[in-house]
This record gives sequence, C-alpha cells and structure tokens, in this order.
Amino acid sequence: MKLTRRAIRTYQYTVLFFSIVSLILINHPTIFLASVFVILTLTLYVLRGIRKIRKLSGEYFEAFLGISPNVLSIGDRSKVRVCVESKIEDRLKIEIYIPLSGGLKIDSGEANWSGVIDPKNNATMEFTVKVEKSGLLEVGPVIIIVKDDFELVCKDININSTGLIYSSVEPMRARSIVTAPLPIGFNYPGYTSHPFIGINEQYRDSIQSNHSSLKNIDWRRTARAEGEEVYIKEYSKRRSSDIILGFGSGLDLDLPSYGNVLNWIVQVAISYALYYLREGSRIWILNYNDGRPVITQLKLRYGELTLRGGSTPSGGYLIYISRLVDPNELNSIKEYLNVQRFRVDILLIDLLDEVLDLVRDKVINYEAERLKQLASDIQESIKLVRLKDLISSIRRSLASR
Amino acid sequence: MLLGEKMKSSDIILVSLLLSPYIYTVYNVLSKFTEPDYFILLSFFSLTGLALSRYSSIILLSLMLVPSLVCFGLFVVGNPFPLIGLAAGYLLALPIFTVLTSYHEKKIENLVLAYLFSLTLNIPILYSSGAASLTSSDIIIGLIVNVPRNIISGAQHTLSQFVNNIFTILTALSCVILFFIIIRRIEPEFPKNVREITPLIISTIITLFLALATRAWIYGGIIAALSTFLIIVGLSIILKIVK
Repeated sequence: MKLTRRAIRTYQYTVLFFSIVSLILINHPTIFLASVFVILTLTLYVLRGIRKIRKLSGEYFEAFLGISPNVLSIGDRSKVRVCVESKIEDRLKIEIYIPLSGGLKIDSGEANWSGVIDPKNNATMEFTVKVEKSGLLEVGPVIIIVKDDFELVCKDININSTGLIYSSVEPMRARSIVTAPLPIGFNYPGYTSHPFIGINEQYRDSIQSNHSSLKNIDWRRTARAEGEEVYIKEYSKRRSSDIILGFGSGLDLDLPSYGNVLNWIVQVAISYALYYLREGSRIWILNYNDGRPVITQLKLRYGELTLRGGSTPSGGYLIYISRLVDPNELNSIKEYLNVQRFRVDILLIDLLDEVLDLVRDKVINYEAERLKQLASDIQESIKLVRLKDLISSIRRSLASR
Repeated sequence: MLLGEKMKSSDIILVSLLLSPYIYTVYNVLSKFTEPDYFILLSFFSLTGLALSRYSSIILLSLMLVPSLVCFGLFVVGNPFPLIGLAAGYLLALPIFTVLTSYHEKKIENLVLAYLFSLTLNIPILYSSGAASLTSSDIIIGLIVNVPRNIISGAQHTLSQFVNNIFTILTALSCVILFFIIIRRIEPEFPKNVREITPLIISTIITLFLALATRAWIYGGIIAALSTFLIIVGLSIILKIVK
C-alpha cells in the first residue's frame, strides 16, 4: 500500500508552503489553518482509502493472458491479449500494467490500461510485441494497481499469470519424423505409427484368462468366443510421459563460442524434446527468473510449436538445467511444483572450461569450489555437466524419462 | 488552463466561493481609496478578464499592452502615477489570476499549490489595506518596502479584528470549497452518500476548533508551528502504522 503521486505531492507542497511562508515570511492564522485543513482532510481521505483497499489481494481478481503466436523467430510480431475480471461487487479504479522482458518491444497498442472495473465490466487490453532477441521471453506478470475512489492511495497486486514467448534466430517448425509399423514393445521414441500412442497406454493383445475382475475384459473377443472363454486386454508399458524442462539461474550470459548460454540451452533442450512431444509426451517449460518460476506447456498444433499457459503438471520428470547461483532457487521451485510428485534430475552447468581464459584464477577457483559444494549438498539427483557435454546429457535424461 | 474556458453555472458558484477571500481583500483595499484610481481598475479587470474571458487572448493581451505602453510613456515624460496605479492593479489581481488559471489544472496537486501560493500573495495585500486611506502608491510601497522590512525586523502586521475574522472565515470556506472541487474533479458523482463527505466535515470541525483555540491563545507563530508540526508528525505515524 502506498500513497499516489498526487497525495504525496499535495502533502509536500502543503508542508513546504507552511514551513516557508508561515515560519519565515508571514505570520497569519489563515496560513496555519489552511495548511492544517489541507493536511487533515487529505489524511482522513487517505485513511478512508486505505480501509477500502487494504483487504484486496490477488484472490479478488482473475487474469487471463494469451499470447499468439508464442513460438516465433526474431523480428516476428506476437499479439498479447489480457483480460482482468473482478470478483468484487464494488466499482474499483485500477491500472493494469504488463511488464515485458528485454527483447520484447511494443509494436502497437499499450501494455497498460486504466479505468473502472466491476463484475460486469472486465478490463481488456490488446497489444502487439515485436521480438528482438532469441530465447525465452516473459510477458507479465499482470500487475494490477488498485486505487481508492479519490486516487490517493494505491496497492500493487501481482497476478501470477506470466506468459512465455520462445523466439529462435530462425523460424522453427516441428520436424516430421519417419514412422513405420514395428513389433509391439519396441520402445523407442518416434518409431511407431500407432494412432493412440501417447494418449494412453498402448493396447497389445487380448489373452485368455480366468480373471474374475471385469476390468480390462475384451468384450468383443469374449463375445466372439460365444462366452466360453473370457479374454482380457493386456497393455504395453505407457510410452508417453510428463516432462518438465526447467531453466534456472546464472545462464543468461554471453560466451564467444555459444552466444547467449541460456538461449543456446533452451534451443537444444526444446529441439530434443520435440521427438517426445511428437510421440505423445506432455512437455512443460519452466523458466526461473528473479525468484519467480513461470511454467508453460509446449504443444504441437498443426505441426506448429506453441506455448500454452495456465497448465501445471501434477507429476512427472523434471530436468532442471541451472548454475544454481540463486540460493533460494531450489526452494522456490519445490514450493511452486510440489516436487514430491516429480522425479528430479538437476543438470548443474559447469562453465569453467568456457571462461578459463576470460576470468581470473580466483574466480575460477571460487566457481569450482561452489559447484563442488552444491553437488555435495543437494539431496536430489544432480549431475555436473560441462557445456560441451550438455547435448548428450539432455538426450540421456530424456531417454530415461 | 485553457484561457477563457466556458464554465457551467455550478462552476461559477464554486469559483466565486473559492475566490471569496481574495475578492474580500480586493474589496477591502479598494474601499480604502479616497479618490478613484482608474488605472488600478483597468489593470485589475484586464488581468482578471484575461483568465475569464473567452475572447482571443491576442486581443486581451493587446488590451493589457496598450495601457501599459501608454503609462510607461507617461512615466518617461514625468508622470509616474498611472504606471504605479497599473502595477498596483496587477498585484491586486495576481492571486485571483493564479487561482483562475489553475482552476482547470488536471493535476490536483498543482491546484493546491497554486491556491496556497495565491493565499501567500494575498495576505501581504490584505496587510497593506491596514491604513485608514490608500492610494496606489501606498499599496506598492506597502508590498515592496514594508513587507520585506517587517520580515527582516520581525515586526508583526496588525489588522482589525473584524477584517481578520471575516478573512479567516472566508478562507476556511474557500478551503472546504477547494477540496470539494478537487474531489469532484476526481469523482464527478461526489458525494454519492454522507459517508463520502464525513472526512471533509470532520476536518472542517477540527480546523474550526483549532481556529478558535489559536484565537483564544492570542495567535503566535511558535504555537502554530508546533501544533502543525505535531499534526503532521501524528498523521505521518498513523499512515505508517496503517498499511
């Protein structure tokens, strides 16, 4: 909760006026009374405003943030649509502000809105952003500044509805993969034409059984046997899985041979994850930025990659790639995802080989010691990975999903 | 402010009440003139008209410039009184002009600042009307010589109790109107209910009580400064606590 600029200025001007005029220049009761009246009235309305908006929080609002398209290349434009709904009966004066990460520039429209909102009147804003940088770029979160009726006090409410844009240097499409009928049970990704793979467990065969449970009975086959034998369906191991590719702290730096490390890692991870996406696995991208994890689902739509927000996995396999420079990073991720339901594989990036010639020995020693300490302290499965070995590590991690 | 912007009748009433202490000051000054000075009236109305009239500002500026040049010419040839009268008229009109030009200001804090600035300008003008009879020269001398001299020497101005009381009451009314205008500017439907004007009523009562109290204590700068300081500190603490 804070005072608006207008309230602060009014306070400042009045006090300044009083102190200069009354104490130095003119000694008249009117000066004193006018100052007191202005300050007192302003304060009473400020207190009234505080009382009105102090209880408001993110629970009283619902924000929808849509970005289309959200997988694109540098120079492309993306349309952002934000809708904010109020769950409070009263009319509220609000301002909405959508912060954009560096590399996104407003092309048309505005990323802020101000007006009155109530349950019948939603706030809707649309603007277009131009992508000027490759990598994972954030749109949001939706920041709502609620004001009292007289706009004297305001409260910032942060709605966790961040959207992600993934931009590549060149246009990116999901490569079509060769499929062929293969013996059932051949468990490699991308090598089967079975239409239901990935949606559910794969039906393999019906076998005769004296099983008493009705579950999994193949009714057609049993009917063909005229009821003399009971057949039950047998399934192959489920091929699809829920995979989260997490990108953590300390990676957003430029190296001569890789360019921006984070962008390079994201590109590599997504390109390998595409095979699994095609196969039917569900893939999420988790971006950790300044203590705030943002998750979005990677989807294929008519052969085009797209990101879909508003979906959080309830379990699965988390491959978390990070340098873990933020001490609270893992705790934030644990809180955000409830990691008990996830199998976690942390790929701790070691950049020592790449920066050996760029920084002093003291820094190298410190970083080596830090990585060693982290590797020994963290309870979860952690692998120290050099950047040049990252591709094979990601492939191995994905294959072991 | 858009010079000469058209005002509704409600606006005219509100502006009149807002300007009431300034109008009273002008009345008080002009009523002390034993001989009519047309130059003071000319400059006063031309400056006020500049803010109020909807005619082209070029015409109004010309109306101001022509008499100024004529008076300056008379001053050069050895008659300074028209120029002094003109200057006195502009000084009289300046507080009103400041409030009027900032009336349509979108930023309310600027309106408050302009109002307080005008009030500061107005009080020395009111002090200069303390004499039994006045001329334009007396106003100019009062403002240019007496006010700085009193500030330096620490001498107190004196006004009759009647003038002081009327001026204080009108200023109190004007302050309430100022807030009413400000709130109406932010929330055109104000007041929708009694609860919305409660803070305004409370602060008016407290200020009136303080007005009575300071009158009873025989107003002194130290008491006023101390009480205002205490109020400001107290309110700051309240604002700090209530998050």
